[in-house]
Amino acid sequence: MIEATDLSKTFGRTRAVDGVSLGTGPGVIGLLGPNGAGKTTLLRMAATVLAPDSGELRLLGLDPTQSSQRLEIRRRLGYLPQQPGLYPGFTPFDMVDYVAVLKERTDRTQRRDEVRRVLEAVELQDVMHRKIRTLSGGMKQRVALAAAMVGDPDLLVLDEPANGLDPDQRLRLRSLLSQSRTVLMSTHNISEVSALCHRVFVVFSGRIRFAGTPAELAGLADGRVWEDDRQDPDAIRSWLTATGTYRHLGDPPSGAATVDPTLDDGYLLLARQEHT
Amino acid sequence: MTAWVWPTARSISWAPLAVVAACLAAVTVAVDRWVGRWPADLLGIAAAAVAGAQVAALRDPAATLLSALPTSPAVRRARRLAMLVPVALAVWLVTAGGPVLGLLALTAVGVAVSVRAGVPLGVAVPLAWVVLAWAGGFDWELR
Repeated sequence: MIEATDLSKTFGRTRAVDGVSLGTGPGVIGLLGPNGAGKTTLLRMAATVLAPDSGELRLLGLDPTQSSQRLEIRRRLGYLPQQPGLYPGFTPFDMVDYVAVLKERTDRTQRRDEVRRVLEAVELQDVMHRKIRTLSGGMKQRVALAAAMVGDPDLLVLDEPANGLDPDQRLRLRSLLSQSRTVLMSTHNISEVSALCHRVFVVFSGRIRFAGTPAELAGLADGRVWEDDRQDPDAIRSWLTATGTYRHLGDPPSGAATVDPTLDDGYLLLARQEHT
Repeated sequence: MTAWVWPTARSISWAPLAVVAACLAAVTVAVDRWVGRWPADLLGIAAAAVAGAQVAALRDPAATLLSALPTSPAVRRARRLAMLVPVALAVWLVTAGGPVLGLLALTAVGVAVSVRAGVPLGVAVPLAWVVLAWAGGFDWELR
């Protein structure tokens, strides 16, 4: 579905993406990384919005640098940007209908049925005829998500899709995305990755530092997590947990009882290695 | 085939053009009463204002959401301009009644700059053009 080889993109003096190679099949793929790691730039390239400076990219088996193939990709693609602007004077129905028009849905009846379907999928059927300016931030995010889902795209590219959603809506989002064909999404929320993603890429400073399953990411910290009731100055990271004990990451002292690592542990270990 | 017409018209920010049209109408009344015809410098400023208003009207809050659709940003911009330009020309001819080609040239430059460098700079360019022409002592239409 997505094949990238040695992709690079530079803005001024900043190398936002630096020789990224990745390949994905169907399923939900997560991009994890700190702010400014290059996730959004990667997603914009995967959404055909931004051309790489160098390297090769194929989406759905097509080359987005060729205009005719880019058009074909866009017919089969849904894109949710990080800060999706909307027309405040439109209703959710008008907004998504306009997106459907721009997605070349010409049959009015079919288009309107599709608009209702996606708005119901994101549970906005009760407010679909209210002005967008009167909606909450979470509702606006769901309007944008519905717009990305018009036409049941083969590839969904989502930049922080859970932004502004309450826990209930996050669960709903998980269920929606798990029914989609291929989803490439960035997130800061590690629980989202463990609940949803078949595969995860961790990005630091424009480079992929890890590629594998969420279990494999957690496995990086195997034997390197322990808990006790005191802070350990020799640990790479120590933090107080809700149970009142300290959780430590690093090389456990002799006699320490290691615990099963989580995805957070694996990610934090990678982040620490990146900064040393 | 024309399902895009109404939502495209609604997506345009008409307010800048409406404000400029109201100002031009007021100035036209004043000019008719006290001067008789538009002074050339004022005409240049008016043309820059109408051109700038058209560029400002292209500001698209949903641009990023709509950026990866089969209908490209260039096509959407062309559709918006196809709706804006006739209205702006009508405002221009009914009020200042100045040279149409000069206005179109200023608009084209503003739009071209806005595509590359953003709407705020695109709005500023027609005004900068007229001010530089005035400061340099040449006609803003480059006749």
